Amino acid sequence: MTAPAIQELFDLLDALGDQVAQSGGVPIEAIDEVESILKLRFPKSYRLFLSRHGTIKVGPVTIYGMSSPTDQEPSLAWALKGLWSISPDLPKNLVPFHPVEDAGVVACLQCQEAEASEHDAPVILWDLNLPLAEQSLEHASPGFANYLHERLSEWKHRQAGLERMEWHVRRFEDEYLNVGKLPRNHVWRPYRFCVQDVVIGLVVVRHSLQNNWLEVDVCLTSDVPEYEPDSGGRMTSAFLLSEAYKCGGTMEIRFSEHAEDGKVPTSLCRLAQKLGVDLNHIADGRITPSEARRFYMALTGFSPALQKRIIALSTERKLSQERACYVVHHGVWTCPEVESIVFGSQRPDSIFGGDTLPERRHLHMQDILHARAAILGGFLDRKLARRERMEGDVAIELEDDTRRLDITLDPTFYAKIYQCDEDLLVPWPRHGDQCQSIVPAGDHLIALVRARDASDFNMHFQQDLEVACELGKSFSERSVPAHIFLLTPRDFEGVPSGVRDPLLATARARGVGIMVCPETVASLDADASRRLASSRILRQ
Amino acid sequence: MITTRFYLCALPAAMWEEDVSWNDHSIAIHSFVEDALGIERRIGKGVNQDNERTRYNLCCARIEAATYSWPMSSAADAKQLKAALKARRLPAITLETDYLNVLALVTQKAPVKASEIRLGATFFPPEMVEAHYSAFDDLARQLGLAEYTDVRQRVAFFQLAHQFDCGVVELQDAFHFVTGDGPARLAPLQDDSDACEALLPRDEEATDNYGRNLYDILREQVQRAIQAVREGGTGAINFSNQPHNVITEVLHEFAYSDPGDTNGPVYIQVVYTDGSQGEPFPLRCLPQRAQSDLADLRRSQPLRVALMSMRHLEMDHDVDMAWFRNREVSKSRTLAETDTFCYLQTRNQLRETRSGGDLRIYLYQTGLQPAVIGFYRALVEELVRRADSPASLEVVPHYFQRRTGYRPGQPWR
Repeated sequence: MTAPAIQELFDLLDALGDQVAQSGGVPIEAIDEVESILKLRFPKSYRLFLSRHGTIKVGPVTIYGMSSPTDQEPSLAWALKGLWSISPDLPKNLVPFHPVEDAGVVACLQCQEAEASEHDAPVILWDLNLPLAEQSLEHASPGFANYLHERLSEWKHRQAGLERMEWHVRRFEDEYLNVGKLPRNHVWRPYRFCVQDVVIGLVVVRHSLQNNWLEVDVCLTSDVPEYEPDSGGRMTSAFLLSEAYKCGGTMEIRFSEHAEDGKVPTSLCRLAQKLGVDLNHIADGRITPSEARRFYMALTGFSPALQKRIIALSTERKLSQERACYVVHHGVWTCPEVESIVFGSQRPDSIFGGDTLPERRHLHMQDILHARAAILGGFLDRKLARRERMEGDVAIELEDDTRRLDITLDPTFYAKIYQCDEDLLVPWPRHGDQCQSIVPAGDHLIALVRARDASDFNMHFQQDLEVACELGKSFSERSVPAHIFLLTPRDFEGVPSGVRDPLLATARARGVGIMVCPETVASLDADASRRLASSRILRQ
Repeated sequence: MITTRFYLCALPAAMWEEDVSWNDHSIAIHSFVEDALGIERRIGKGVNQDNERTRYNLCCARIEAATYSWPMSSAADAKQLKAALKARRLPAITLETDYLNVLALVTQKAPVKASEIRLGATFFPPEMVEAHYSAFDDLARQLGLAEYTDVRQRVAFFQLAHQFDCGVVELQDAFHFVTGDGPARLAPLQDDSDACEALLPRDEEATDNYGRNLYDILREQVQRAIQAVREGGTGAINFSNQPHNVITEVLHEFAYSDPGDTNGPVYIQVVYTDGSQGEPFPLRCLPQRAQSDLADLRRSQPLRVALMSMRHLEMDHDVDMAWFRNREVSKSRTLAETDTFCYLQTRNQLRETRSGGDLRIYLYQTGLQPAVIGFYRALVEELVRRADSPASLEVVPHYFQRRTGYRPGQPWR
């Protein structure tokens, strides 16, 4: 461990002053004795910590060390005894020094054996509920000083952030809530994000009129063990990026001195790193517009192919990257629906902006037709993803009981391609059409999405069938097991039987199934119009 | 690949006047056409727009479905058209995806004109055909689009339809499959109506305007935009986050041309936070007037006008009227549409004042940016129109300040 890291830690402990409760330093000889009993070498930073403080408690952070009585917290002897009894398979070179809040996890130093010349000891997190074989044992930090500095800074910033948040909330109540006034973008606005009664993020933001960027005065996140890792960071980042877009600035985000001393908050940096986005101005407290765009795209969960396409369209000035992300975070479109629109439509930005009015009928219809197809495809996505369980004759529906589906779009044919590691029951077979009702696990289910009404089918069904056959041929040439279907809305049933039946017979003969979604074009269009209308005023 | 194809069908005049039965199959569009045209007029007036638009969609869908249900025959010339009609089939031609791009581009470049000629509508009764195609042809020429195959084919087909006293219905297939890269076309059109955020300069370097006042910042942006336009690029400004007084004063500074400047107006793009794009704003186009020109105008009594009703009720006893009705302006629509609404309202109202002699307006402004932009765009156009006549119109904006009350800004005349 480097000396500057140790010095930084001790400076921070000194700065915290009275907030640090310590048992008191111990002589070097006593530390040597403990090392010889354990047959280990403590890292230099931990030895210095023991000799300076013994043990400490700062807010919720307790660091085990040498203190008396030895059979009570925060004594290291007490901690080791307890840990060895709970986890008998704990490697003997792991020295527990910090119980991580409420997580059932203990931070341990991975010490060297006594005779080793090196003193380095990375920090790993030991999960009390898992056996050795299932422990990740990944390094949570390169050493004791870094780890403790990070924890204490986090706590310090949290305290400062909470105080600042309270100040903002009081001011906001006085100036806006209590007088029934709505704040403008350039006013500091506090937000709290919760799941039921658990707070996962707190932020205070405003749009800077002078600089046209988003300013952040408070940015606190919490990682709740019961939720997906980084939930707080994800929620907060998604909000900040969406807000930066909504306010119409350059997408640049600046953190004030109150948010982690003017740096980009650690939780956001960690998340960006996980998503493969480099933030190069962390110390300046700045996320640049290009970094913000990359972060937003990665956070939204677009497939690499979709990201590439969006960037290409953005370069041609045909689509705003931020808008594509914003419509997903705002719940207007799902990622697979966005994929259908971006790859299928010539005017995706017009759809995401809801720009075109019905009076401009052709442009409006272009948007509606592609929105309609994306929504129809979305119905199939959800239908295939949801497991349907039966108990006797009763269908059981469980929340979040969904399959892991791989969904892609073939833009050449405007066909959705599904692959699953479970057998898929083909939904909505046309009445009397029972062929290929199960798609075996690993095979491709291919749905040529054609959201046409009856008169449109009347004219184009033959062509659609040819396209489906062409598509099937392209898969069979590559020896990829594929099951081809034509996905239609219920209006298909309105095609005159004299026209429809011979075509259906041809479809059957050529191995193309028909899926008739129970939704009609009218209901799909109503949904499409609603989404376009809400897109129009999404940022106001 | 999947592409968009359009079918243009010629329907004989009789079909636009009554139900027509051909080969025992009835085609009934005339009542829907009548309704749809009535709705278009009502939408233009801004009344009950959501309902009207829903009904408009239904009417158009019925017209298109009725046309779809009829057999079609290709008819690129008079002989083929005559033969198709004789066989009781609808004469039709197909247009490719460039037509869509042309529509988007024309709508973007000349939205008002495009609305006036009903460009983008899907039906044209016989009596509208001639006026439509000649206006479309003119517009396409002005915008340099006349040589596109789809434009030429469309104009030719409309001419043919007119010759045979037919109306035209246009159908769209957004999922037409073509093998390979699709039909051969001219160079792809660049539709800059999309992604209007992309029009704005992207600041990748650190922006630091702390300590600078908003006037200077916007002034610099407008200066850069003018420079970009003069160099053949696009200059766009996001006006959404700017205070209305700053917008007005900065635009005033750049609205007037320098003496001897013969470059003509510079149009900068107007962009709003919601991603919508307003019509371009003309700058460097107003002539400077000598003080002596203004003597008569200054003697007239000013009309005190609030920019919008029901925004600041405390000023009601100080003003004679409100220029815009809040109820009509503050609707659920994009900011660019609000801008266009205010522009058209102002344009019409200023036109009406032409015959009324001199007019001085003290405009008590409120802070809705699209209303401010729309108002001043129409004002600039009106002042340009009156430039060769003695000064007869002046607008003096008044801005509210908490401590000092209303303060006049630079007069526009």
